[in-house]
Amino acid sequence: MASSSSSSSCSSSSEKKITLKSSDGEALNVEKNVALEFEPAKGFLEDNSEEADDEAIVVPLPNVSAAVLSELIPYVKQRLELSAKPVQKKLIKAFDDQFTRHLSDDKLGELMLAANYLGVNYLLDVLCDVTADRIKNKSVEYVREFLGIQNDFTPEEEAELRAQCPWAFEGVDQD
Amino acid sequence: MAVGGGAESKRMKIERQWSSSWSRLPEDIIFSIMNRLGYVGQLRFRAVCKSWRQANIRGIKSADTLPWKMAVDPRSCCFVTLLTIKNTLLIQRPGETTWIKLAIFKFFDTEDSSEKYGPAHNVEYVDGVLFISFEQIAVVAYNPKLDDSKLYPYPCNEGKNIVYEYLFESDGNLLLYHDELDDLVFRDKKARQRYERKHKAETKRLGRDFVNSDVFESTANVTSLFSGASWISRKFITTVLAMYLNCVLSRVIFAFLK
Repeated sequence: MASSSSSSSCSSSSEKKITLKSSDGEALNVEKNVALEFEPAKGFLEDNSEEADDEAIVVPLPNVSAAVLSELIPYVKQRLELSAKPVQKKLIKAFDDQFTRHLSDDKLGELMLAANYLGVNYLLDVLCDVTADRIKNKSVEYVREFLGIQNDFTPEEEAELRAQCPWAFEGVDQD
Repeated sequence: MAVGGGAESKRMKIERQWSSSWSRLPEDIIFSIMNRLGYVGQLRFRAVCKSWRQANIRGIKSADTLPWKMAVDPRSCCFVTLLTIKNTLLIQRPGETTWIKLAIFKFFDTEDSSEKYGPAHNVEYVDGVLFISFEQIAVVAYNPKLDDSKLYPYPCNEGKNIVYEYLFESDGNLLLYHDELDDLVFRDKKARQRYERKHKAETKRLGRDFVNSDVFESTANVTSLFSGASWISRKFITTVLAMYLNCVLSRVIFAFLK
């Protein structure tokens, strides 16, 4: 796994702090091995590797807000610690469950976009699982309302696509 | 994680697509979520909004391939499929591309009974009558033309909690498979003789031992019940037939289709 190799190679530098700058301009200090889990940050650090002092580097992450980052960072940190040890998958799963259980749907969407942007694939997988779990067996209307999605079909279009397989829209869970 | 030109362009792509709205999720996330939904869930998912519908779904898989059971009527070339989660029968006629709902087995829809019967396991289409085997209790014979159905309770099920797995039509008999039935129960002497004859013949035909299944009902008996006006009292278990326990499902199907 990429995370285990990066954490072992960075064990000496793990105390080093990197500053991440969020979309809303807030600066967050993180350990270097955590920052390296984020693809844009990793690329940025490699591009600026001639810079002797890591402390001076500020990595801009213009697509992630401070609120989302401050949720992501502890997660990635703990997840790194877990995957560095030869732990059972069960423990990681329990940790992921605990992390996702109380997420609101807005937060879920934001984290998903952030995880995608930052290339944290293990988190993205978990979030996709949770999303699929929350919307399966739900009606189309429920999903729209739940996730705040505008229905951009015309009534004719919608009637047509429903007529193709009307049985698929029946028997969903009560909202 | 490769970093370089590829990652750079990927990042650019993501930035362009960036939005905080669910409806503008990048296509690869839509793909990942859809992969985790069942077939029917995907149909609904794609009906939520345009961008979800337009997402490239080539190569997508659904989380549930198993609940689909297919039967073919060789005469009309209709495909009949059973959506086992919702106990819905769908039919596709020749030359058409959409599935039409044929029936929902409403009497299984109450909470109590669906727990009792369990999910539908298999469907066979013989001479215009569909046979649907449920996990517990019974096979249902359904005649789409008359919209009529009959229950056939499973044999030798008392106190055993046997899960019946597969239903096949073979030589005019419905064969019901299960994993755990060790004792063969015969209704009468004749049935045992028939079983032994059949067992010998099938073993010879298949070139391997033929054990552990039930012959459930002669399909000729059942279809005649539907075509005639009278529904004669139950004469269910004609014989008990055994079939080889460790046979892989696909191998069994192929053996019978051949």
